[in-house]
Amino acid sequence: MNRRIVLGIALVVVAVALLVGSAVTSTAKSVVTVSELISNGTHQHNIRLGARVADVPIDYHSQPEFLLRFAVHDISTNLPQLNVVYRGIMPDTLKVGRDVILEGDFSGSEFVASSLLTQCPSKYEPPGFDEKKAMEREGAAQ
Amino acid sequence: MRIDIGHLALLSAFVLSLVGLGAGIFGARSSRQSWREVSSRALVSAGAFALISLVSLAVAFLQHDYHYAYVWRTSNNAMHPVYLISAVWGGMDGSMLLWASLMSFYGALVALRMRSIHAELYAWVVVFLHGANAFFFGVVTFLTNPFRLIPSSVLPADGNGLNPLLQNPSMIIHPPSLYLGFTGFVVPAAFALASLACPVRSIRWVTLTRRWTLVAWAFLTAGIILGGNWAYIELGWGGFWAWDPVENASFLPWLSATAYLHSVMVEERRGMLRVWNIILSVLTYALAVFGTFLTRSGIVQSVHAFASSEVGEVFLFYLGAIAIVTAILLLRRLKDLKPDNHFESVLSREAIFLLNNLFLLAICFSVIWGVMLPVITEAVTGSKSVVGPPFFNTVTVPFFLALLFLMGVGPLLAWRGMTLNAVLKLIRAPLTVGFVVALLGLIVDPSRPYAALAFGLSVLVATSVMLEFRRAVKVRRELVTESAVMGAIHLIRTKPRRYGGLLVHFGVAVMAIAITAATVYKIEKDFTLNQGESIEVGRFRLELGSLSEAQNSNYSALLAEVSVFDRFTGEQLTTLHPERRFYPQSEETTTEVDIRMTLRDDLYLALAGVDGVESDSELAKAKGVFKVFVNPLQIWLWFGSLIVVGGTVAILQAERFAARSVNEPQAVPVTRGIKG
Repeated sequence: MNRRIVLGIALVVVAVALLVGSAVTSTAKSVVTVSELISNGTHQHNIRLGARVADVPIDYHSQPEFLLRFAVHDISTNLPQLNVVYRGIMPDTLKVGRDVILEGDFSGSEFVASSLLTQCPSKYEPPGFDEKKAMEREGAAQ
Repeated sequence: MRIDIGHLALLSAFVLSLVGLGAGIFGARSSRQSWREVSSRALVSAGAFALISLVSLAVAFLQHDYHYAYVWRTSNNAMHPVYLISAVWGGMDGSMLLWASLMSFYGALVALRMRSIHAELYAWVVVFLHGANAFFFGVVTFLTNPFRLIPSSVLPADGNGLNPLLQNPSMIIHPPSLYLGFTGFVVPAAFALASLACPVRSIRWVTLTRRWTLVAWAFLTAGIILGGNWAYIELGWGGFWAWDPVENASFLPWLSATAYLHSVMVEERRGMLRVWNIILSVLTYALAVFGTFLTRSGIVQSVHAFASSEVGEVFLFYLGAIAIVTAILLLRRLKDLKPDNHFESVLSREAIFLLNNLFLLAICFSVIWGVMLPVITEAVTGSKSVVGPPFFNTVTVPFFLALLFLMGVGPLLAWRGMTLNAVLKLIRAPLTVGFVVALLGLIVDPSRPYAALAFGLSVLVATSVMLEFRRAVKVRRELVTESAVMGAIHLIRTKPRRYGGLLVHFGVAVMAIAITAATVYKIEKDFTLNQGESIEVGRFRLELGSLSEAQNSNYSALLAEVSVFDRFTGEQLTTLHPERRFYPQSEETTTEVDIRMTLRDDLYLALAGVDGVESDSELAKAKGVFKVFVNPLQIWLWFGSLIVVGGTVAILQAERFAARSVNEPQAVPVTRGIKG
């Protein structure tokens, strides 16, 4: 009986390993920055891109289909710039200078995003929150 | 000079935990009663001081005492008093204080109610509870102190405010409920370790902690569901679960706790799986801590806007310490933990429980792997990879389906073993019903075999529960005259573990049906409408009546009025009023969805914005931009959850009397199998 239990456990372990392995291969997305993306070459799929919305006009149409075009660059520097296409509703948190997380494919000339998330722009405890500065900004000394 | 009662109380709780830990270890090892007494009382006092600390923080919020940086950062003058209370846990520092306080309340309750158990065991339980308290109070005192004063000498006139998304009724009870779940697992973990540390052999710690575990499990379950409900109503993306790291963090201890609740029955009944249960109970607590580490360390990015901070390493150290202590104690006592019995047959209740444990832990492991993948890939290959919902669905759904099957047949099997023929006879009826449902599902929609299987298995579980109730009620009614409903209630009251447990299973089956329907058969559409224009979605026709604006004290709102008609009969069903709010102070926009909930489906409408005009003054000419979802059977997810939590509360109620005679653990009734 105990041999059967060990066999059963081994089977489940193998099943988990196979499932996890194949699911990782088929669904994992590489996390890159704009400059990494561009230097890695053209035609890349399953990419997650963390970037900042560049200071160029954001182009948005809701008809005949939702079509949003804007540009992003690395968060640390203003370069390089990359055009982004997103077919979907523009979140109204999307503004120049905001950080976004895009998922999708890179065609070599532009990034076709299938999902677009704007990072929480709020003042609620962003990393490295500086109370002193924030309080000065708020005009705390009233 | 300013005296911070809350801060002083927090410091006292920390010092008491250290003193209690020291006195406790000395007392437990030397058998000196006075030291043990000191340690036990310190446990109660630490809980009391934590309560004072927590109440002081709440009072500071209610009084807008912006001397405290934390109060200034997470509240403002305009907030409703109820949300001022919930702002206590609206940020990192207060959440950690809540965690530590709730855990110390459990410790204090143990000290108040479990004194009559075996003295040696109790002495060590107190030690481990103090150890946990000391760590958490230390973190709160030195790393995330909510009583830190502002760096300015001038008192700010107003605070920063709480994220409007968190100003929602769910957020008042969701975090405390979740934390009451997380922290409650400290009790079984402390008992498990104490059973290893104390010199007396074979103390039935699993029986003693069953109620504590069940209470924690009920809170955790309710907390997770409330979180899903909040996401559904507040976030405007039409779903209730996104496999976000924060959601996963709460799900991991739930999985191992659920495994533990089942496997302890094998130990109580058959004296098996002793080592396994000790590991599971400690693992559950460790996963609760790990979840907090995950959300608070910032090592894994989440859409939840949590702060990253330096507490991460400290948590890793704590988790490592738990693992080492557990391993040492286990190895020392391994020879005392030999099972009374061995597995005799695959077709036995204990074998099904073992499989249940394997599958739950398989899900647990896969989810951990998915959550940690960015960290693992970065360490191994240097470049980060992430996975999303498709990964989690692929790896967990097969095991969830297998678990449903076990839920359908497991409770019918006897302990020790049965012949295959006897098993087939027992499960024939529910199996047939489930099979027919799955087949029907496959005929109606051959493109989604997984959904058909999920429906079939859920119905199998529901049928098996109902048949078992019917059988038992019939037996009762041969002896007493009572209605079927009263019979079922009596069953739950007299044999809570079996029939309450079956009721919980029934709730899970209802939830499984709803989750399958609402995710697989969801209709989703983004569209733009002129005022007066209409669009067809599923069985509905939506007509945009008007767009308007409204000003409120702390936000301005854009409102849409949308009439909903039955697409086929033309009959008007309702009018929905989705809203979009802009909070100028925080520059935050929130979507206030409007939902038409019926037993059949939810029509979920979100206003995404306006289009076609340059300024808001031309609103009369504007188009509305909407997101609409039709989620079939969605409401049954909440009904099913109520059955699950209600069933657990019923078990706890019914077992109350049994728990009163807790110093006589053998007197606690054990589950009887059909043939056992």
